[in-house]
Amino acid sequence: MRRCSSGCGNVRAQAHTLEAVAAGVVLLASVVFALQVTAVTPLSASTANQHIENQQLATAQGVLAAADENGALERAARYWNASTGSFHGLAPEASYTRTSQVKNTTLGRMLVRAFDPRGVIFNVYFTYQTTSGVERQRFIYRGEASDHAVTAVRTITLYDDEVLYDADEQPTTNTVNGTGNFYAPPTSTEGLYNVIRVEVVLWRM
Amino acid sequence: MADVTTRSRAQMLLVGALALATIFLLLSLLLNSVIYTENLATRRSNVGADSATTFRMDARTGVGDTIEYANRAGDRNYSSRYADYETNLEEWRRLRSNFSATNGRYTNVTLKSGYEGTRIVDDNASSTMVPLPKNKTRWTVAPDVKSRRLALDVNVSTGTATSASNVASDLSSGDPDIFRVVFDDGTRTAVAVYENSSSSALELLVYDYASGEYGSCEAPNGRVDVFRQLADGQYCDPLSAVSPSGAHDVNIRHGDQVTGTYSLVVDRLETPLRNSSNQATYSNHCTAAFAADDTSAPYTTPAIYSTTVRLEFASVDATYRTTERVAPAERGDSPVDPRFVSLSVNETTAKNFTVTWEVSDPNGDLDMIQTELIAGGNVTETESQSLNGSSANSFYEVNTNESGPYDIVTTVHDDAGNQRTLTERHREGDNPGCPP
Repeated sequence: MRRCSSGCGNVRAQAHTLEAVAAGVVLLASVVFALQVTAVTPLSASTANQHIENQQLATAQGVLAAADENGALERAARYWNASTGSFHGLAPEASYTRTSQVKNTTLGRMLVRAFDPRGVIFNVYFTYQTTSGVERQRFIYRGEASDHAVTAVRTITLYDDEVLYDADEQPTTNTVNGTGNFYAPPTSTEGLYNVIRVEVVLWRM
Repeated sequence: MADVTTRSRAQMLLVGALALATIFLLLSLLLNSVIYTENLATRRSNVGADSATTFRMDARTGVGDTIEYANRAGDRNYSSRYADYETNLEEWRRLRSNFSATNGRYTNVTLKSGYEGTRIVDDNASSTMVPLPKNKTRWTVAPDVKSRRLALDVNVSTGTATSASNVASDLSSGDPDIFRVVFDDGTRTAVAVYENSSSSALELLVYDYASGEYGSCEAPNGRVDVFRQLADGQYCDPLSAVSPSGAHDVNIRHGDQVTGTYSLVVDRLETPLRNSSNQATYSNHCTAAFAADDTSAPYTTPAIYSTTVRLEFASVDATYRTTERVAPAERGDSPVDPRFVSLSVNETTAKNFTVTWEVSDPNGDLDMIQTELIAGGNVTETESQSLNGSSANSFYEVNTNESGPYDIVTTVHDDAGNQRTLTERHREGDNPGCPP
């Protein structure tokens, strides 16, 4: 190894600096690259996670199936006060918003039990057909749905001679066709009154 | 540590930086693998099948509701009920397919066939649950039937309030004065409704005679849907024990303790069912346990027991076709037993009876029909005919030299060993009409 006398330190110092700069650049480039290449997908952990949406949809479909089985859907669709022309305990065109109101019906209680502990909010709509198209009646409205809401749907049928339910979910003597102010109009002259689609919209708070 | 000179230190810096860079790249590769794995793991399969399954569930409910509507509204004959079912189902199909069309899906329902049965109804809420014309505490509402949808709305009008355990022990040891519906398929299961002494509200108890086990549910309004396992619209777990296998008897005990309504749909046709129920309750097929028409209770009416429909579904992701048999609130298998369409026994000449019969079988495996003439407690004459297929009708004669009264017992068998029997008692010279 040649002994370096004077002037050599400068060259070596510049080489050291150059190598340090190169090392820094390599490190910086790798960090930037690593950060940029990370895939942020809809499945990244956040409230908008697709997995959570799938879970909510499956849970809602299960609750709707159980509600259909024990008649809670039918009772909710016919939870109409013929004398006021609205759902029980509400003004016309209003819908249930507070949890205490929502729990008046069996369907509301089932949905609250399934979703409130998980921090998931739901709206329930009754969609029906008229001569001029499809219309939507709010049943439970607890807020404006976020962009990541999911909807679970189930269809039920109303017949002319089926009775309305009172505030305690007991059958009354008013029939669906006999009230004249029911939210859905009759669609045919046959015994079938209308087909109602129950939509449950859910999203995370 | 090695003796590090300035030249080696500089190389180590570069090598160290390269090593860190490689580690960062590997970490990002690892992170991406994790994200992709989670993506794969939570990928939903059968996305197209979801909507097809929803349609199938909706169609089963829609067809079932239409059957129930056709059974309760309209004229009391099967063809007019089936025509009502057809027109209402077409309406349902039209409305439901409008909903599907808004989502770009095609759905269709085509009717295939219907199976006739009988609906036994007491729709007079202020009457007790006893048969006509006598106030019998033990009667067979429907003998040897396959039943579905037993819906009761009961009000306990007499009797003392009691508790579930008392009712169970009373049932095991005797015949207490408590209203109950007893299903007998070889082993008996009872559904009793009574007033609970501590809560003063109505309660229902399901009691299994074979094992002595019981369970109870509250039913303050007395509404019970037995095969749907609902008590006042809430799920009642003990009712899942009521699951008679095959053909069974439906009996009511102490119907005088309650008032209310009930409705039961069975797979036998109206006239043979009525004769059979009279025979089982009064040992005489002529004493009518049911009213002649629907102005009094209880009465019978032809009804749709089940129907078969063809469902079609098509969307961008999936095409789905299936044939569904719908029998609302039926537990267990579909009916397999042969049944009588009609039976008439006429004494054409002295001690000579012409038995004119028509039978059918849901599986198409009729085997044979046999009539026994019993006089003085012994079978004095037997006549039989072998059968096959799903329906048959003919007649034959049985005669005897013995003197009456005669019990004429006609039994139809199928290849699987199932059978149904009709019994008539005749006296000499009682033709025509229903003898005493």
